[in-house]
Amino acid sequence: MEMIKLDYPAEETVPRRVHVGVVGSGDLEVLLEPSNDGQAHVSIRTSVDGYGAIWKNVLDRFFSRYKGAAAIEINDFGATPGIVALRLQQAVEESQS
Amino acid sequence: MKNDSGERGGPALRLGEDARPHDLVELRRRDALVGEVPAPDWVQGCLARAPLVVVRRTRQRSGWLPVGVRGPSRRDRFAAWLPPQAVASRIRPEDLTGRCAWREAPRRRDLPHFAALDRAQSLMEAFGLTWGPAGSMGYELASRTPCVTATSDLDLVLRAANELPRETARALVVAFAMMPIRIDVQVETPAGGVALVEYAAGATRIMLRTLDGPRLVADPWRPEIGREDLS
Repeated sequence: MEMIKLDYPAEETVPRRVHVGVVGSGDLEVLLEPSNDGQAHVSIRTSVDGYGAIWKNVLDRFFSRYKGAAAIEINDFGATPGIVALRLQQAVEESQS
Repeated sequence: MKNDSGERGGPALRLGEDARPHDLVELRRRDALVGEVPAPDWVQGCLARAPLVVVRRTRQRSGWLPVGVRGPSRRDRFAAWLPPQAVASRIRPEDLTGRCAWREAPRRRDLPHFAALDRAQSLMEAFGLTWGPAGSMGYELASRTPCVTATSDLDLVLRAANELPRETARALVVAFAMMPIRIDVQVETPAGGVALVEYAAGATRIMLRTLDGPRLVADPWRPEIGREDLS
């Protein structure tokens, strides 16, 4: 079990709170909601230790395109970076729909 | 499903027909595995205890099977490739169900997971579904070596060549939620795998794990319908 926290600058407001993903092997849950300080904050709780650099890389890439002031909570059960990126994208789509 | 790469005949196990994700493959020779990076120390020890690897969900390369070695802890997974002639046999999750492999399991009294399989079986049979144990339970039953722990989820694979009625999915989710351990069911469609719980919830788009990576789709049996460009 490992906790990782990351912060990013933001430009846009987040319309609503969404929850995507599932609790299950190789998957993750993403809770995305408006943050209260105009910045983006990510809090990752992962069952697999030692992948901090990969998490930062995936989130850096995500926030190079996404500018929402979101508070994102991730509950990870050993998802691959591809699945993490897809779930983040799904959360953004749902928050904007 | 049409098959992958340019492989030739012979005894080769082909993904999607002969070998599918979640299947376990018994090795004829332990040294036949080829990794993309050097194998960590634990790999040979694990294979010496049980020469079993699990088929990974990615495309075959020149007939070589993508497989993974299960290590002693969660983060110990080793991805490798296996030449088809090094395959001794294949064990599908449903093969373990066919012979009720958990009934005589030595640790049946120690862990609730084995009794949960009895209940899963009566449920799945009631709906006429083809299913089997995967993950740590599949590995334990196939290898006859301990792998499930008290905190393990019970991973099940449900074969769904045709569309699974949403009501059936919901009924299964409700029934599994009442069991004393967490049951994680992957529904395998001809296009890939989806989480039963996500399919049952009925969201507009759900995640389908395919041989080419994960995708968001509206219908996991007809993934081309309603597909939008994701980027």
